[in-house]
Amino acid sequence: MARKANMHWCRSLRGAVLLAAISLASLLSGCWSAREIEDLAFVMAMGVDTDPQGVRITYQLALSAPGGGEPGAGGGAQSPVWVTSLAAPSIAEAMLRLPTVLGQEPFTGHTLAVVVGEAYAREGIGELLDFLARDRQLRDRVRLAVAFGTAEEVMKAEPRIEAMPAEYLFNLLMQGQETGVVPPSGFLGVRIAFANRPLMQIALPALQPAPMPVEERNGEAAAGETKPSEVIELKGTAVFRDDRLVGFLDERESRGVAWLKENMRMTAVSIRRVEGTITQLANFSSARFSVREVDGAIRLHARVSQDGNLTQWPHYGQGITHAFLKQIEQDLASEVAAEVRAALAALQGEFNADTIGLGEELRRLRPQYLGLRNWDESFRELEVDIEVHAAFRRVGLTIR
Amino acid sequence: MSRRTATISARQLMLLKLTGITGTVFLGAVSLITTLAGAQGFIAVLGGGLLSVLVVYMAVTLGRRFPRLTPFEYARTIYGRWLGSLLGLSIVIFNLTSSTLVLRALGDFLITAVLPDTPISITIVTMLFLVCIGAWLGLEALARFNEGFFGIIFLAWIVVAGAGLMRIDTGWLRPVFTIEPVPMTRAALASGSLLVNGIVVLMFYSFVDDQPQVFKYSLWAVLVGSSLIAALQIAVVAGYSPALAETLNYPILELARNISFGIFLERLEAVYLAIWILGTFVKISMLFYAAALGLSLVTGAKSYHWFIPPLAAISFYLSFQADSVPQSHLWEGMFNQYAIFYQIGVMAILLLGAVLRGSKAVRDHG
Repeated sequence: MARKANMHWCRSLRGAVLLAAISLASLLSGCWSAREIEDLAFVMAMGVDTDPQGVRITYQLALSAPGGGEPGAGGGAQSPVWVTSLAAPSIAEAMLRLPTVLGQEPFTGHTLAVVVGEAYAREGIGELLDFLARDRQLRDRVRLAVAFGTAEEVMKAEPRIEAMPAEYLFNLLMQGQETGVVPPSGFLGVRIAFANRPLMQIALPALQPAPMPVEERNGEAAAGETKPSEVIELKGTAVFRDDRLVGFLDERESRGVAWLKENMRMTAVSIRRVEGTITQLANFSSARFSVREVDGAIRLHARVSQDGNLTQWPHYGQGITHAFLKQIEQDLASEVAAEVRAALAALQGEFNADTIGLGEELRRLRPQYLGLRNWDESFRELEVDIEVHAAFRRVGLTIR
Repeated sequence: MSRRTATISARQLMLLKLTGITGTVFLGAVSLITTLAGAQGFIAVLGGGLLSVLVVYMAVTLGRRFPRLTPFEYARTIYGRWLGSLLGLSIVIFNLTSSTLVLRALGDFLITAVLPDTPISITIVTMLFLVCIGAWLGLEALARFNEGFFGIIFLAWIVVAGAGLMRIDTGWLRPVFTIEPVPMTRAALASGSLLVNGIVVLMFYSFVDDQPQVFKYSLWAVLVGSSLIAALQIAVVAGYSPALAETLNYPILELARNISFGIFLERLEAVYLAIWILGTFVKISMLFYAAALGLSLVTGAKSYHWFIPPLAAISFYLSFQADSVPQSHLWEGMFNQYAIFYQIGVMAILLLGAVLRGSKAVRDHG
């Protein structure tokens, strides 16, 4: 009896092992979709501009060996990317035509940034967002930005600090986000804003290649010749209503938005006084919203808290006391509040685009209030009270 | 008949049930619940959990009355040869439909998200081939296979759900309890149908050697399955916002795609998918096995094995009836919303018949 049970047990175990072997082996196959790495063209960044044909995409493609030669065959100093453009009626068609130019299949799984030209952004980026969301290779971590002028110029920039220009762009946007001078640029955030419009609107970093000095040849400026820019400058925020670019916030206004969206990680706030400038390196910020009803009207109350380190102190003869710090914290709070008010004035007055997501905050706090209103119309009229608490926590290695 | 050929433990049955629940979650389940209930989907999942507890209770109550018989056999005992066989055949058709829909959903998923150039017929045929082997080897082999892989399957779910939950903005879930009763009920029914998982307990109760433990273990399966689906639902809705989540075909894939460990261990979704597809394989194999066994018992054939190839051929044919992915999603959604009625209905009919016939059946067959 026991022997029979044992045999039964062994038989079922053999079956399980056989199943495991067959099923695991089938998972290893790539079937028709298998791709050899040398058949792929890695798209590191894309620039999207308008074109008489419809759209012009500029691709920044990684070269397997810089200069196109064999690895180690003297291509070291040359650019690791090849920049090429393609015009087509639509973005998807440009992508499908790319293999006919490259002789390789484009792979967007490693794409780090997508830059949109100003003119294209003003016409609407809906088609681009749809294409990017549908693409199975592209990741949500890809960064989006708007270029003053054309995106092609940004794609052609040759930064000196980083070998791979797309990586430079990616890191630049990440750093910019931490300082608040540009908004977060992750594709996921853009998708969330676009899906929840008008309660949230898209905000993207604005950037521009820094102009390079005109190259001289034999003592004379070479007419019409420009050198690719080595630096890309962050220029604030591109503000969208639905999918269309409606204007830009400068760096101060962008930071005003960042205080409300808790996007800041590390930023310098300066207070200008007669005796000199006091600078705080703010490394914490938070915003809490509440709704107040005053005379039957809704007012949104935003309480911004921030703190950080004192990093520049012009009162060389005066020691840093707690009482004096409290006094300058008031000035610091006023400066932060001014930045927030400037941002609100531009977004409500000039653009009527809620990139902060105040509508979404109201939906969470008072859903019945929003249910009765068209946010596109009521955003302009929303009264927002700003309360800022600013603090210096640390003062560095010296007390004077 | 069934006890002579295979025995599994109550724990193995629990793991089979759990794998069955998780085996389709990454396909369309979360998307369906989100579409129906939006941000409040997790409440619907908990409601579905309660519903599936009721189904488990009914299945165990039935099983206790006929501890050595499968539902195909005691349906005939209760309702006679013809009516009982008809009831048994309806369970076979239900299993076949359920497995075909899962098969097609898996094919759509693979061609959309992972293997765009591989014809859907190839993915379906490959899976069917594996399923045929699984069903041929029988319940014990499937249970052991599942036992061996369950740890890694569940770990993959925990990692994805945990990483997804770490990024959520709970504000998207507010205000809570604002959903209308009708969509909430529909979402609860859909999640209940997923959690019942093709009446596994009813089907395989008679194969279990420690039957008194079945109810306890099945409750654990429902509890763990509900918690996991609710966690995934929250991770999707509060991570992507309800408005965006409703537009996603495969929200769990999106969650998995965005998980990375540091900046060096990325793009792990292929690993998760491979692991989860093992779960899908177990689920379809179980349904196939039950369908083939049911046919053999209804027709009085000596072996269930020879019913597997025709069932596979029918399933292959049926899986191509949807013209497009949206139509396939529509059918899958409809099935998931209404399957629970069949599942509760068939058990209620059997239970009612068993109660009306009194304890005679137990004495005869127990």
